[in-house]
Amino acid sequence: MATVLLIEDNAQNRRLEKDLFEVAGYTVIESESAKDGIALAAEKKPRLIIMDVRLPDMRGTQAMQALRADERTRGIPVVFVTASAMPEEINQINTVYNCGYITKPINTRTFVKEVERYIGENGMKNA
Amino acid sequence: MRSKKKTDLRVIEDGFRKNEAKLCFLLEKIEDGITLSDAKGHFYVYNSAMERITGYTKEEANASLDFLELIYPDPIERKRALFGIVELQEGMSREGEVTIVRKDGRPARIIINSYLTNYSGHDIFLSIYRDVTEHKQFEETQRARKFAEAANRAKSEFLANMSHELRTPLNSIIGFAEILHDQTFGPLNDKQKEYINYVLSSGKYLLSLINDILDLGKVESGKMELKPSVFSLKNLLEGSLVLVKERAFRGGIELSLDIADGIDRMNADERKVKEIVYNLLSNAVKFTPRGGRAGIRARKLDSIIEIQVWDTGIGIESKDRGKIFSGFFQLDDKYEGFGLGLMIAKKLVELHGGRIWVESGGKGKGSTFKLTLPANPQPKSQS
Repeated sequence: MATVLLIEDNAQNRRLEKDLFEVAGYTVIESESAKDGIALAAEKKPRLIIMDVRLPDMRGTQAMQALRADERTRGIPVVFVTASAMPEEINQINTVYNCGYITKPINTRTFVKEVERYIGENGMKNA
Repeated sequence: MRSKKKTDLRVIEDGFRKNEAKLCFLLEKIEDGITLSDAKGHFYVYNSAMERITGYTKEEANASLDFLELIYPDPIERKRALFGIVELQEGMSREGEVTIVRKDGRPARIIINSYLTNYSGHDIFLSIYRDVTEHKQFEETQRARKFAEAANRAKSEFLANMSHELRTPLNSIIGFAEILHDQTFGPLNDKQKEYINYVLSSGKYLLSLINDILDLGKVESGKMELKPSVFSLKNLLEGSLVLVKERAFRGGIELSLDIADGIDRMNADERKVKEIVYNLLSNAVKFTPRGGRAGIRARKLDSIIEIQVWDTGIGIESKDRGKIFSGFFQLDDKYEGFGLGLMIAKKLVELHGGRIWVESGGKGKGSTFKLTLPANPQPKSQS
């Protein structure tokens, strides 16, 4: 079963995403901070990372750079879930390879389908 | 004593006149006011730039009992201007910035450089007046603009942060309500279904208000840009009607669409046109009592597309017709909302270079919102 890593500091939002992924048949691992999330990603090598843009210890885009700098996590697609609708942040995210974004509030009926688009041709569950 | 003074003056003036003839051309070309004067305030040299700067001719300056009193009517400013001058030693200079009053009464900001020289045993002051009024005004405008820009940035940041802070809990409210509504984790009874629908629709309503405020902030700070594309106006208008269909049905309101032949494709920012039409249409449905009608008419006038959103609703009195577009205005307290929809619609229409207005027969006689959009974009530059 494919694993998804959620990096999100808001416990309720994390729970919501966790529910949606579990209902869709994924294994979910979680982190409240970017630092722990980066370490967890290197250790567990999830198929996909869902990350908040504004995390308590660093910006999501900084965490993104750290993930891309590490060979173990370089290839993992990252989808930002952001409550910010400011174009500057979205532009910044758009410049990064293998990376997407979804704005909060998420649509619970389409959320998993939307993030699966970022996983690539093989599809996460077949991997 | 008297004749001695006269002789001295003649000697000085003769001396200057010889040099003045040579320097005249140069002096008249210079943009700075240049004067040579003695300790009593008599001007030997007073170039045309000086006349331009002060508004007084050399003759007027010399005829005045005290020229300094003339250009510094304010004793404090006069004192400031003279500060240090009386103590000047030969060969020394002094620079100061003062405000003079011109002959026409307008103030001028001047930087004065004064030098003390000696000519045939007499103290002679050479003064250079540089008019920096326009420069100062420019600096002032620059400062005001920088301040306004900083204020605008602060506002945008505030709106972005506010939006972020409000969306985070809304994500939980709407998300969990949706999961419950969809009965993902088990069935709900009818009452629970009804109540969770209230949570869901209120949450979505709150979200639309936050989006409105954010949009308004973007338009006002000039950050809203048009992204024109060619699209089908017919599809857009039909799509807008679908969005309010359910509400209209519940309110017992009949909807209609009337598109004149010959318009379909238009070039504009599709998302924004949709928002304009949707805002008008949801107002039409909101302010029309049961049994009424509402709808859209569209036609093409040369290179302009006119869209009308009409209803048979509560109408708008003529005294309120200007106010409804200014935001935070509500015709009636019993309808919820901030009154931002029309304000945003107006801003978005204007961003396209179009116009929006309302016609109404008066209270209870329905309203027709009319707007014109160029069929091709002619964006109005935001200032």
